[in-house]
Amino acid sequence: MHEKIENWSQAMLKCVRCAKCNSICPTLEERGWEVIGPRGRIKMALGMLQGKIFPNELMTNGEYTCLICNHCVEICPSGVECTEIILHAREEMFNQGFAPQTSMMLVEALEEEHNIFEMDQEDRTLWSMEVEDIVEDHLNSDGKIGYFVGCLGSFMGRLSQIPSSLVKVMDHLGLDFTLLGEEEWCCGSPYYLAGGREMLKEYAEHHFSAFNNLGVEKVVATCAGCYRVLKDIYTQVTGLKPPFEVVHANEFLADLLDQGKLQLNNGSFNKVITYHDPCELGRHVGMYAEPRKLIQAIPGVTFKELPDTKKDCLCCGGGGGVKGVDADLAMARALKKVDQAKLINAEAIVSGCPSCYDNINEAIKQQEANIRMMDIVEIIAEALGLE
Amino acid sequence: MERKWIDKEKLKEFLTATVGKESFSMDPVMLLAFATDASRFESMPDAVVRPNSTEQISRIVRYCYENEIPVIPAGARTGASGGTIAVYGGILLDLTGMNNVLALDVDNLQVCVEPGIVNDKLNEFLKPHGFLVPGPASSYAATLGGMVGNDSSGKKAVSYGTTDAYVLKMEVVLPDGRVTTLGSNALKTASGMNLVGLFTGSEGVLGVYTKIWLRLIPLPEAEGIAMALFDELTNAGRAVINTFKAGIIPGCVEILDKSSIYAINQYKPEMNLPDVEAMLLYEVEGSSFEIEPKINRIAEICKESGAIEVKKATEKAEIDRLWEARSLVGAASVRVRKGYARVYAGEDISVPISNIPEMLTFLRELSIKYDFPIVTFGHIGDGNLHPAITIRKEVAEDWPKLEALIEEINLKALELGGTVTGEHGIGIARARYMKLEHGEVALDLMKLIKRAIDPKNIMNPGKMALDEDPEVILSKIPDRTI
Repeated sequence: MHEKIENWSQAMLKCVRCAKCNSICPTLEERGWEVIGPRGRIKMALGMLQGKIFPNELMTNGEYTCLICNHCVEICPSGVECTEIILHAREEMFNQGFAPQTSMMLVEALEEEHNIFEMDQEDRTLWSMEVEDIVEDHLNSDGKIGYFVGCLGSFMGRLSQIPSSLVKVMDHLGLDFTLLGEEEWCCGSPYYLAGGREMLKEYAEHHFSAFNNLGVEKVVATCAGCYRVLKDIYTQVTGLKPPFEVVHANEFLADLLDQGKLQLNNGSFNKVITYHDPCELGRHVGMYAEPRKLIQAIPGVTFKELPDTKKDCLCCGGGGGVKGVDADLAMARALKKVDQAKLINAEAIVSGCPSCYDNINEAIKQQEANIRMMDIVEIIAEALGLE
Repeated sequence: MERKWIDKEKLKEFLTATVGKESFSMDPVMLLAFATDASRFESMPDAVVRPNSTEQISRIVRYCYENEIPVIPAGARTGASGGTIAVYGGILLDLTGMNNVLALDVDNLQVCVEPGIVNDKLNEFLKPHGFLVPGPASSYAATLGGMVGNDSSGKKAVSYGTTDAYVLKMEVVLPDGRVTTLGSNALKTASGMNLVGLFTGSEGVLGVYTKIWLRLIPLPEAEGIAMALFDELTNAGRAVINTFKAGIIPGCVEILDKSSIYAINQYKPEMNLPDVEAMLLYEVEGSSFEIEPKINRIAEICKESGAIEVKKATEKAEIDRLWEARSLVGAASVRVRKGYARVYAGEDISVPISNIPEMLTFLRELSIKYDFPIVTFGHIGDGNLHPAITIRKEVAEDWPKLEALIEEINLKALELGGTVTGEHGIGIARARYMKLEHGEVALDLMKLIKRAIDPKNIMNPGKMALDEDPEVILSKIPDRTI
C-alpha cells in the first residue's frame, strides 16, 4: 500500500484542482455532485490511499460512473492522468470488495464462460447466420489477418450486422482472414474496468497464442474497446506485447482504400452522414482521420461534423462500464448525442464501436428520430452493394 | 474559535425536510471531496447541500443562525485563496445547481442569473444577442456567485474593470435568514449607501447571493493584437505606461517574462520564442475602423520605448498564433522541473505598473535563492502578476521554504505600493497580510461591518482576518494538501 501511495500520489500531485476537468465532464454535467466528476474522483482516490476515507457505496458510485472518456486528460493543463488514477482507484476498491454488483456480474460471467453474456462459447458464431458459408471457410483456418469479433458483435443479435459486414467486405476483397470462433474469449475489458486487471494476463496469453498458432500477422477489431485492450492495455497491464499488429476496422479499411484495393466509386449513398468518435478510438488513440477518409470516399455522401467533434467529441455514455452502474446516466449522454446529430440534420450517425452503436441507437429510438445508426463496416459494405 | 459540536441527527432531519435527502450529504466521502478548493488548505464541512431556491437557502441559513452553525457559500471552488474552505466545519452550500438565466433584458442592458451559472455558459447564452459578461481565466468553471464574492477579474480588467463594475443588483440571504435586494435595475444610482459594492468582493462573509443582475457588455466588433519583444525589462514597463499616457486603453496587456519564455520553449520547442527579457501582448477591441490605427500606434509606442521587435495582427488566425504563447504558459509552468508541481501561493500580487520591472527582477532572484522554479506572467496593464511557483509537494522541507518565499513576495508587493491580491482574494491564504496592507483602523472597520451584519459570525467564518487571528487558523488546518 505504501508503495502505491508513492506511485499514485506522484500522479495526483500534479493536480491543482483548477476544475478545468469538471467543466467538460459528461457525468458531472448530468449529476452535479462533485464526486461524479474527475476532480472529486481524484480527491476520493487520494483520500482512500491516505486513509482519510474508506470506500463505501458513494465512492463506488463516484469512481464507477466515470465513462473513461479521457476528456479530462485531454483538457488538463497540468497533465494529470485522471483516467489512469480512476482506474487505479477501481483496482484498489475491487481488491477491497467495493466494485459494484453489475461489474462483478460481468467478471463472474467471464470466469464461467469467457464471455460477458455467460453464454456457451459454442454459440460464439451464432452471429454469422447471414454469412455462414464464408465464416465456415475461414474459421480457425490459417490466415494472415485475424478478425477479433468481440462479445457484443458475437452475442447481441441486434449488432450481428457489424461482424457480418466486415466478413462480407473481406470476402469481397479476397482477403486471407481467419476467425477464432469459440476460441475467441472476451478481450477482458470488464476485468480492466472493474479493477481486476491482474486477470488480464490469462486473456492476453490466450489470444496471443491462439492467433499466433494460425499464423496471423495482423488482428483487426470492429469493437473499439477490444481493439484498445489487444493493442495497448494487455501490454500496459501485463508487459506482454502482441506478436502481431493490431488494427481497428477504421484503419484497416482506410489502408485498403489507400492501396486501391477497396474501390468505393461504384456505389452511392445519398445521405447526410456524421461520424461519432468513440472515446477509445478518438481521445485515447487519436484515430480521427481514417473514418472520415472512408466516409468521404463514398460517392453521394454529404459529410458533416457534429458540433463537438474529434478531441471535443461528447462521449455517448456507452463506455467505462457505466451502463451497468447507472443506465439513466449512460442514456442521458446518448440523448445529447442525438440532439447534436439533429442540429446538423444528419440522416445517419456512423461510428466504430458496437457499444456506442447500441447506446446511441437506443437513444435514437427513444427520441423517434429519423436518423440511422451505422457502424463504419456496415456503411462500407452497403456502399459496396454487399447488403 | 473551535469547530462546534453539531447535533447531526437533528441537522439531518432538518435538511431532509428542507431540501430532500437527494440534495444533501453528510457522507465522509462527500465531505472530503468538498474539503478543498484550488488553494492548499483542507477542512471538511459537516454537510454539503445543493439547494435549488432562495427559499431553501433562507431556511437553511435561518436554521444555522439559530443553531450557530457556519455556512459556507460555494460555487465551482476554483478559488486559490481558500475562500470556500470550511475552517470550522458547518454547512457548505454547493450553489452550482442554481445555474439558470432568470431574465434577459437587452433593452436595459442587463441579465439576471442564479449564482451557480458558469461564466462561459452565460456568455454562450449571451453571444447570439451580441453581449458578454467579462470573466477571469477560469471562466470555463468559475460561477457568477464566486466571481461576485471574489470581485474576480481577468486579463480584460484593464478595459472592463473588475466584476464590481457590472453588478447592478443582487438578491441576498442575510446571516439571519432574511432575504433582501440590494442595488437597482437603473444603470446608475446615487441612492443610499452602496451595499452592492460592499457585498461584492466580501468573500461570502456577509450573506449568500441568490440572484445577480449584471450589466451587459457589447461584444466587440473586431480585435487586433500587437506583440512586442524587449531586451530590457524596464523598457517593457515603460511601453505600457507610455501607451496609457498616449490615451490608449487596450483590451488587455499581458506580459511574459524570461522565465515564462523559457518554460514555453521547453514545453513546446516548436514555438521557438526568442530569448528576450520580456514579451508584451496587447489586445485592442472595438469597431473595425479603429483597430488598425490603434494597433499601429501601440506598435510605434513600443518601438519608441525600446522594443527590439514588434508584430501586429488583425486577422483571427494570426491573432490566435500570437496569443498561443500566452495560452500555453500555465501548462508550461508546471513542467519546468520534473517532480515539481504548482501550488497556488503568493500567486496574485499586483503593483503599480512602473514597479513591475523591479518586482519581476526580485522574483527571479527569489527563484535562485529558494531553488524553486518560478514562472511569472500576468496582466501588466493593471500591474497584476502571477508568479507560478512549483515545489516538490511530497518533500516536507519544501513547505516551510515555500512559506518563507511567499512571505518575501507579498511583503515586496506591499513595499512597492501594491497589494497581495489583484484578483484571487484574501480567504485564508492571505489573511495574515490584512492588517499590514489595510492598517489597524481599516481592518477594524471591516470587522465592525461584519459584526453588524453577522453578529453570530456564521457566514464563512475564518476568512479575511475578520475574526480569529490568521496565524491561529493556519496552525489548525492542514495547509499542505496535495
